[in-house]
Amino acid sequence: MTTDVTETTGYGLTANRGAATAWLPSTRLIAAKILDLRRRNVLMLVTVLFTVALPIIFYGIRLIYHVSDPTRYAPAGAPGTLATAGTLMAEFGYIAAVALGATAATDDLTEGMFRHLVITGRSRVALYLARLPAGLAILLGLAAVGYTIAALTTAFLAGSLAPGTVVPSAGALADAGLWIELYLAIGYTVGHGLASLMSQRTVPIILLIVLEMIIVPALTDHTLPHFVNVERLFAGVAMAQLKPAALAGGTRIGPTGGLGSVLPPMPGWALVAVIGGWIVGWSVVGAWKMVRRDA
Amino acid sequence: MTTGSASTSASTPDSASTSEQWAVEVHGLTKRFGARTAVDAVDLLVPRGSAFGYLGPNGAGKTTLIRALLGLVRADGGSISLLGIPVPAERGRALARVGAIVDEPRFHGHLTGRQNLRILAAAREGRTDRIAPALERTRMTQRADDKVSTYSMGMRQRLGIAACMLGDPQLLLLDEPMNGLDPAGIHEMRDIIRGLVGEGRTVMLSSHLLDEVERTCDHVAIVDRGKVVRQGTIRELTSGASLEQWFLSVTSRLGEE
Repeated sequence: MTTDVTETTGYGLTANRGAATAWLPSTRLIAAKILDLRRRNVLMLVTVLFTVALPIIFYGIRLIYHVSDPTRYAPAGAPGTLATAGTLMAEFGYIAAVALGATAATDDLTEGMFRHLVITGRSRVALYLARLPAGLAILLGLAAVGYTIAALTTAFLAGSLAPGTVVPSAGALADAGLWIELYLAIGYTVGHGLASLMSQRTVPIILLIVLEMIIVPALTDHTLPHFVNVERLFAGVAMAQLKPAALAGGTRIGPTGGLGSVLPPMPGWALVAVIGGWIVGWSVVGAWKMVRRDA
Repeated sequence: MTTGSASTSASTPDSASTSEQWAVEVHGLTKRFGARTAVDAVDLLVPRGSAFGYLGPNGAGKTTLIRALLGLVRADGGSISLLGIPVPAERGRALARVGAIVDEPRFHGHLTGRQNLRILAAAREGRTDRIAPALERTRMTQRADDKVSTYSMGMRQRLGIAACMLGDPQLLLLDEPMNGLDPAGIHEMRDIIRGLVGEGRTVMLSSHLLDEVERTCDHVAIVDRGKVVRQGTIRELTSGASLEQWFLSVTSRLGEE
């Protein structure tokens, strides 16, 4: 029995499993991708450095300063320190997220494993989708460890605060942590989708770093006449508006916080639509390329 | 069992043949890259349980045909079935019983051979129980826990065969499996292929190493400029001459035409 090869592509949704669930990645497939990423020493070193080591180094330095001259330097756990640490963790974590996402999207292709995987008959969509939870599990897990260090330092090493200083509540600390996690998740999924689309790692990483470190801060700080709604279409701008108060007062490195943004506030539904659109949109574009690509 | 798309001595497939007879059944397969036709209306029948050599000079379209059979590239026309299962309509079901190496086998260099196989086993419904036998069969057990980046070409080829074996395949499609191997490696590869055929599996391999094909295969097809020009058992086709002599006479005649 034969069929015309032009009748159907059969690239995306056919697999060994039932057709209805063929596009879903199995836990084994996700675990296999985690294994692949976890064993990339340089990538893991950079990711750990930018997520876990960064707050340790930052708070370590602040602690040494404070101990050496308590009158001049505030305690390591001062609220303003959390804002600076959080901003640093978000921006450096974003770089790690983009690099990890782009690597997850392209390493099978560049190292020749993509063809082996396709030959197994496994749905390409399942292969693609397996990379999302795999990379996010590593990234968000490490970021959670790093942020926990920052939050614990804020909670227990705040020392005696100046009158009028507001200590972040547990809820505010949780909000700040979730914001950083969402910010990194966006970096990972967008990096993953764009790298899959472009079938390469370096250019998407550079593009997204330029976008997030240069273009988005500029958009956040300036209102372009007649183009306010265009500015709001950037995920980074939407995230800046969502930035919680605990992270909004630190040393400015990336986008200004929502409290300092010059753009008119976006309604909740628009924030969800823009951020969701970036995550889903880039993932769909990357999956489309994955399904269409010759192996 | 002869077929071909070219007018030179090729006949149409036997109408009495059944799909149970053929591990690979291809009719009118065409693949173009822009203005260039890499595979030109190829008809091909590969008998089950045979070692089938797909011969042709470099650039003749051997790899493209294998990639089209596996659905790695989109064909522009024709029909394919592997083990009686239509491709690409039921590609996933067909490939579950097929193993293949296309071009030089490459793996994640930062992982060990065993870890690479674990990833591929995960894609094949998690059959990790087949990893150890596959490594054993390809004599890779000793080096299985070394990084692939330290492997020689021959070891990567053997790891490629081990990867094929994870699916307990009935059909193996091997693209130039002897390429880059030293004489000992070629000898080992030949033994592995003959062993697989001895178990009733079908092995279709592309090559331009005529001497090796003659030693390894019992059926051959010759491809030239995208067309299959001859197909049959080596004994039928060569009439006692060496495969190399026969191949050169056929291809030189085609050149004159």
